Amino acid sequence: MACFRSFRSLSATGIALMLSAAPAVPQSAANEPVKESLRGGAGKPLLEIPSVRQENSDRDDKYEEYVDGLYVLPLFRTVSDDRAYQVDVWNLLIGPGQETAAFELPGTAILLVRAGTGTFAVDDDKREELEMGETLVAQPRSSLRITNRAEDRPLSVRVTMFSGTE
Amino acid sequence: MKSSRVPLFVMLLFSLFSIAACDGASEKPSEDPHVVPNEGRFDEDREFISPPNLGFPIYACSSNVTITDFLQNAKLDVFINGSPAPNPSVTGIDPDLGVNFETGHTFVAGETVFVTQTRDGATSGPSNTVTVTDHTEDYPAGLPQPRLWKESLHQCGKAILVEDVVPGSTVVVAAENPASGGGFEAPHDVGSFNASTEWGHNWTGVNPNFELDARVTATARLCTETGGPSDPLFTRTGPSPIPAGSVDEPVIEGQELLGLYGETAPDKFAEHGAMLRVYEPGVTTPVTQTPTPGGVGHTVHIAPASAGQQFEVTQELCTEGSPGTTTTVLPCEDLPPPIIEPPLPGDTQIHVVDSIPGADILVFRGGVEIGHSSGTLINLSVTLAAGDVITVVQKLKDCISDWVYVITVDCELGDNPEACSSDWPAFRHNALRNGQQPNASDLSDPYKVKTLEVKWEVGAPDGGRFRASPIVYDGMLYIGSSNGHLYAFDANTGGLEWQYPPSSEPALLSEWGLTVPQHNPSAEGIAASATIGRVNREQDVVIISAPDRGRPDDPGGQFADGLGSGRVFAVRAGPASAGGGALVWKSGEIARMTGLNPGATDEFHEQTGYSSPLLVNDRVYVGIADHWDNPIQQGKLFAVDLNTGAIDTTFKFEATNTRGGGIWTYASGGLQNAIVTTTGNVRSGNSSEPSVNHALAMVRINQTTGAEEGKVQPVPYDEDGDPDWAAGAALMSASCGDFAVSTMKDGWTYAGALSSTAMTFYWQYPNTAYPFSVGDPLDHGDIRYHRSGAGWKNLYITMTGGEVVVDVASTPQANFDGYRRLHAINVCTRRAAWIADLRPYTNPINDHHSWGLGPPTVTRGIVFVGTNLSKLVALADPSVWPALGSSCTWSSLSNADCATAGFTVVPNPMVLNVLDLNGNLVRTEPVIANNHLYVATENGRLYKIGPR
Repeated sequence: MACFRSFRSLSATGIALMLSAAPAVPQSAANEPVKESLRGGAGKPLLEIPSVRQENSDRDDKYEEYVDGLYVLPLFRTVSDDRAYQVDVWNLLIGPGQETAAFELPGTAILLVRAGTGTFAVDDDKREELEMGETLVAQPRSSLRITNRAEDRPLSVRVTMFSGTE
Repeated sequence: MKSSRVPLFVMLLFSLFSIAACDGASEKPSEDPHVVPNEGRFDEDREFISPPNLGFPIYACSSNVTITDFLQNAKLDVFINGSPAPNPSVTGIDPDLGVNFETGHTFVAGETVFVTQTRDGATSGPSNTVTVTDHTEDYPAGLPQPRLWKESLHQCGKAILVEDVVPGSTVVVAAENPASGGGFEAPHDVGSFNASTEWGHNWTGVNPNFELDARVTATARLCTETGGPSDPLFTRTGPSPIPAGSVDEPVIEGQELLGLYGETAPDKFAEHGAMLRVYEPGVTTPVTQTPTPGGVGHTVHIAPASAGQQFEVTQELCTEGSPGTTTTVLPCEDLPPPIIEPPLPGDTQIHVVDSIPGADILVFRGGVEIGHSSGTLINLSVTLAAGDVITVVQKLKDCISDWVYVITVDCELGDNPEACSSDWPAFRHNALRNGQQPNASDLSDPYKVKTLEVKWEVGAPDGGRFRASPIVYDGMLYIGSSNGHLYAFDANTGGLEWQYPPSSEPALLSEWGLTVPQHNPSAEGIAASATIGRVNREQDVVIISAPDRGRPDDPGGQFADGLGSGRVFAVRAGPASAGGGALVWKSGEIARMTGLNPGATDEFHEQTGYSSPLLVNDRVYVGIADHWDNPIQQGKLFAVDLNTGAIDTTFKFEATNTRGGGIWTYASGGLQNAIVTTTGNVRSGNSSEPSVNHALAMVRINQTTGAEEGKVQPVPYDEDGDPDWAAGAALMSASCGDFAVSTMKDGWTYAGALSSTAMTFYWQYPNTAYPFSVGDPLDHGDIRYHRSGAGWKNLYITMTGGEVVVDVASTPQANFDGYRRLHAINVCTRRAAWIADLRPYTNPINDHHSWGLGPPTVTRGIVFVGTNLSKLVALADPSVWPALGSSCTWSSLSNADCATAGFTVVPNPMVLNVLDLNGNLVRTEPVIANNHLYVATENGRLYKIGPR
């Protein structure tokens, strides 16, 4: 016996029709504009931590889907003086019980597990179980797939990427 | 006494119907001590039934009403401005969910609506009256965007649920089928409904059924305004094979409502859009069928069930699946008793938490029937008083349960006798520190909350600040100021009655707060809220903890060099004319101040600071912290005798055996014999971890000896970046157990399970790691989640980091947003029940040392909280008023992505009112006492607020 949140019956039926599928359009955070920090100069660190995100808490930045099961929040990008390479820092989010589709990151990437536990598959032949505080280095063009088997904990990953600007 | 509504002779004339049990004894169905055999010592009054409940709000331009908590098959009559509606009545079927009824009348603002019910010749009195209002009052920014129920919208789906819809609005669902050449065909409407105040009505069957890969949206319209459209959903192939369905058990003979679920009731929900069919085994024609939007149990109506009859359920999308487990209808003798929430004095309703769907619920007091209806909230003909013994009976047709539920109306929660005061006699209202006013009042009426206005305003006479909150007791308001005076005001008029110390004596100040620039705000004067106590069981006193540089009448009470050591004072309560303001006792020195040199390790810099005295069992408990972490002092909890002020030397709690673990807040008590407090940082004052280390913890302390009896200590010594645990604990008696709940300064919230002798870790929100490991990449620094939370039912309402708190270390944005949100965390499910985004009512926050909200308080689901923008915000739990909208528990995800990403979309409660006040409101609590709010501000203003 239970008092439960319930629906009331409704008499409605219909006829099903079959039509062809329309592809979903994934949103790629990689192509989204991100804030550039000040360039490194004399007396300044090359990779100055940008302050823009700390100045206005009314900003409403959202994670966006990168591939199925993987959501990305770009944090900042900095570009070398000669504009030959850049560094990007993103937050990756894999929700409870989720598995990502295979994806690549633009450049050499250091992945740091900030919260949760995940299985990281690289090029489908190497699997590593990483816990909070542990890191993984992924080479350019590596195919990654991440699984978060926990049903009640998100998996949060900080990724720092080094890549050419071209 | 019997209500005068029904004359005695009428009662006799129309037969007293004895509520005797069914023949045959049955085994006791529950270990609950309130469940006792039905001895038939009460008579049903066949002339009396309770009024049903009318859902609110009702908005202008709408035409439907939602009625709940009626007797099954009763005729429900709707009255508009006292006259029958054009469509005057409807038969009620499902009392829990209610009926969403089209009145045939387009409502106009200002009209009044009520309903009655009639069954078996008895007619109820009128329900609650709802005044029609304009929806733009509640939705000034326009209608919210509807939201489609995210779970698995399927090909061949026959129904769809739409959320975030305004009651009374017309919601239309449209589908765009995929075009053969790509893209989509033109949209076509597949279903619509008029939105209800009850979530479970807000769905529609769809015709034709959904095709594969169709794009589905919903729009809502009310008056001339059209909102939306919703974010789209795309239909996908359903599960194959489709799971079986099931019936919620038990089913008792005579039952006409079945709760249907997916594979296993009540754990598995039906598929979104499935057709649910109920069969008798071996019979091909279904007993009944219904499309369902899935997600929760779905109720269907059947002919009265017979004992031994069997049911099985299938689900169908494109094809019908196999039936599931067979359910057999049980005989009358298996009808269990109903279960209700413990009623409180002043209640006029009984809240049923477990019953057979559609069963009559009868409520008796002293053998006299005072309530009879069905559903969740049974209206009573009387107001309950403390000590009333009520008996609750469940009845299905002529079948009466062998067992009944008997409970005494009692205001006690645990062993705390003050927990139900309509005054506000302590910080967070009572020793439990749950910040809850349990009594019904104007402030638990959402319509009256919408009319709140300032009744009077006064300033601190000494020009000081108010970091303490007021307390209200017996017509008086007491509050301490940063300039060192305890003030007593007439709570009705705001007139000043007295101050302590009198102007002839030095104020209660410390030299550190006066002369050392580096000091915590709590070092200034009286920072802790007062507590009411009764000395020798006859003299009411106001108890405060404060610094004292010495009393002129008591040279021995000048400690050390008179720098302002801390002690406890008891001052006579009441107006000046009755002797109020006279000192009754003062304790010895409990917080030592022996020097004013920052960094000196050979001096004591202790203070009582924000530690509001806790009164439990004739002892007063006060904690010790420091004026500034330079260096940190040893955290301690002292116990003082209520009657004499003598320090209890047999009680000893020290957070460490060296330095650290300062108690920056109050202790809590009154449940499971527990005293619980929280402690601050430890590493900055030590070269290595102390061998005794209760720092950075929520600690349970033996109330007699001071011995530690269990702790929640999530941050290891090596990770101590100064996340003092500075919010005190709320002790909560929830449906799943007793808990101490609090939010640590780094933004995680914790519950410790309380037994009669111990406390153990129960959960962490968000569930991240317990304990944290050394070297983790998270931020356990000097972040400022240090506001007390409020407890109501199973909800702990708090300013907490939320799920995104794991992002804080290098994404401060996540932190700053958390400072401007309230989370209601269900202590039993360990998940967020709702999130209030209060950014519109708070100033943007730019550093970790600021925060946006004060400690919330709650009364019957209405929450009050002050903000850093000097706003006093009133908001309503979604069970009290339909939610404003919804958001993702991972606040940096859009609603559209939330469920797909593995998170949960939860309601955003409706903001009922926002009052502009003058002064920062983030330190003090809105006090809820006797139909009014009392609010103190950082800049020394004091307000009384009440309904117009």
